[in-house]
Amino acid sequence: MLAYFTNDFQLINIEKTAIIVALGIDKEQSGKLEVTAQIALPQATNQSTSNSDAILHATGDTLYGALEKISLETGWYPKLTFCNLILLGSDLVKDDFMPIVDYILTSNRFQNSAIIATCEESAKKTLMSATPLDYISSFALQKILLRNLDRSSSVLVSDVREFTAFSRSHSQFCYAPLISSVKTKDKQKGSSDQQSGSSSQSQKGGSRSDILPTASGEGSGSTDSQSQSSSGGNEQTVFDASKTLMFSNGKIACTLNKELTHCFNLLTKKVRESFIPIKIEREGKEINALISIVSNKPKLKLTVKNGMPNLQINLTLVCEKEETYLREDTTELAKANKVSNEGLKELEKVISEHIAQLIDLSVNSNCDFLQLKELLYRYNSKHYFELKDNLLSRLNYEIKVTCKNYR
Amino acid sequence: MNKPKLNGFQVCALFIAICPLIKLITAPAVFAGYCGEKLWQPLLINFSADLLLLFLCMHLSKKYQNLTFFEILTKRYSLTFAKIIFLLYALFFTAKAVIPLIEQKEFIENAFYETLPQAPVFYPIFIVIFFIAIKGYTTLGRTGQIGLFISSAGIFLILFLSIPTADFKKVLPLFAFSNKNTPICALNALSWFNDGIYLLFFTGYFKRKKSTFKYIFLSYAIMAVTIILYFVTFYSIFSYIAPTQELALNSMSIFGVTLVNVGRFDYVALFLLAMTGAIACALPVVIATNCISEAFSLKSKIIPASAITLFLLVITILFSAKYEEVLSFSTKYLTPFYLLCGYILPLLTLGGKKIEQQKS
Repeated sequence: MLAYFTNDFQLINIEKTAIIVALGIDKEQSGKLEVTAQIALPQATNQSTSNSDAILHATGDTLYGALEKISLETGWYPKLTFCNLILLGSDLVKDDFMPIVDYILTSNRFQNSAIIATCEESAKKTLMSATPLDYISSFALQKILLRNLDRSSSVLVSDVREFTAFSRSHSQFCYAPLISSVKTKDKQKGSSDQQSGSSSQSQKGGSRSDILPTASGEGSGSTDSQSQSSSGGNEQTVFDASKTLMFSNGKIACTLNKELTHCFNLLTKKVRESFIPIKIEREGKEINALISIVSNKPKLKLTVKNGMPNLQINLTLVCEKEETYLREDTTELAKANKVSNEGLKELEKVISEHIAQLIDLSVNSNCDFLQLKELLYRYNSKHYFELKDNLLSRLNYEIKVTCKNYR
Repeated sequence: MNKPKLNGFQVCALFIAICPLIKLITAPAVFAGYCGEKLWQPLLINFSADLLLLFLCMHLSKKYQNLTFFEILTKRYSLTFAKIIFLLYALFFTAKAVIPLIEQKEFIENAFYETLPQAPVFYPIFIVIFFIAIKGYTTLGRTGQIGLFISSAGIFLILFLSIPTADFKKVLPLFAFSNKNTPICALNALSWFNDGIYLLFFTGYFKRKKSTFKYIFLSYAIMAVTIILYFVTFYSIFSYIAPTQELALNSMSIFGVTLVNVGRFDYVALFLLAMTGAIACALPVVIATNCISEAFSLKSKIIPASAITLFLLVITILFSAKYEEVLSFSTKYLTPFYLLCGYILPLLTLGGKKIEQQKS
């Protein structure tokens, strides 16, 4: 035991390790993969400092081939156990990219709990964006994506395990949040202030590229990170991950907008805090209100009658009134959290419409993201072979949404 | 009367805490590959067969109060016959020790090392195995007692972290779409199962009290339920990609919200299970050593323990990188041998000459 526990566990010196916190994968026009690795750099100081990073990119025929190029050019050993975000570029997901995800799943280098996300532009551009939320863009992204973990409401997060398991299920679908960059003039606190200690605070990646050149593969610009940081002071980026890209059989099927993503979460995940804006009619006026959903109880039931599949969706939502743009009298104000009956009815109507839109989108894009084939397989096995190929086209559905007050 | 070397509690501890350990690493992925969501069915078959073996042992213990398996065979048949059977069992337990050792090596190297370790960090385990083998059942029982708390804590922590992320509906449907691979999987899994045979070799070495067998059955049931829960949880987490997760223990518990926020403290459980894994690997070696000692009437166990440990060390060095080939060889060629030794040869105790019943 002593001999066993007193060895060094083959740990590589931290100064020789590139702790990759995020990986961006794009596809070049030549068909090669361009890998962008965002590396967290430990700060050798006893004062509290902000995070610092380096962005390195390389191209290769395979994913790990490109990473190995980065390793050869920098002398750093790539450590992927802290890689919590894998970003797939817009060009990559248009083609068959599932072999890359399968490699990530089966490789011991990657964590199966890493989040998979796609982006509207290239993964490289997204990772290189300067954001006022954090010095490291992937940390800012993870804040948006993981904020909703266990409270799932506005973002649909998928890790490597879920992504691959869903793609190999009977429904053969998978999803990933679609990240869009939104330009903003908001600045990072302290970006123009001089702070004692590390000089790496003021420019994103700027100080590291003074010390070490960014590794570059064929044709990729090593000056990208520098030019970004020099212009980063004026225009910064925040991220929006409220849309979701749905895949069917490994190909893009459809995109869920913010409302449909939210609705999908209400139907499939446990929601503890979620907000829906509605408009309540009062005395001929339309009043804006925000309703908070504190819990949900979805129930999807698929039955088969006379060879026709019938889907019954029962969704119970427990609500509280968060805010209304209405001045109420003191008696009404005392019942601050209670949603009025018309509010509840309006909410039921809005959610029902969204569910109907979801089902129609699933049928039209032939993407079984409600996992109806799974329901058929598990609960209606005797009809499975008869209906599995045309389940969506023959589907009838009934939606019942019940909203009630928390108190 | 043989001097008791074990007590009932130690036998129970071995069943609850040590026997499950070799089933936690690669067996879940193998079962998922054969049977998909029906992976609990071959488990039930194996546990039911073992239950019958436990009943046989209880019957033998009741009937021949303090006789060991060797003594029963000697009296029922002949000394030579008993020696031949025990040599066969020595081969059986030595073969049974190979796969758990290779799995344990892979588990430790994958869980705790960045890259393949250059130094032979795994091989000191053979010193532990050799020590327990020469000391025999007394030390085995005591290490089992200590291991009870360590491995129970490890298994409990793994399940505690895994169950919240499991979607148990993924094992449905329970009975539709019957899988033809279920009996094949149950047969091919004998290298991990067939734990009832250990009780046959412990018979005569522990003092039987009124409720001893009641607790032994209860311990076995706890082990069976825990393993079924573990396998079902594994499948509920990974579902269709379960066959790709070769090392279930490393990968099951990493998806919990707590781990995302706090860090990988499932390593605490992995360390606990790695420690008690050494005892689990030693269990068949102890019995194989005992079989050779009985067969050749040896007073000292050093020579058989050395021979078996050295053989297993060489096999592990040569074949640790060829786990798939070893598993394939075991399932293709050794399954009939496991079946013979595990379930058929114990029935010899019911045949042969009658022995005068000893009164307690």
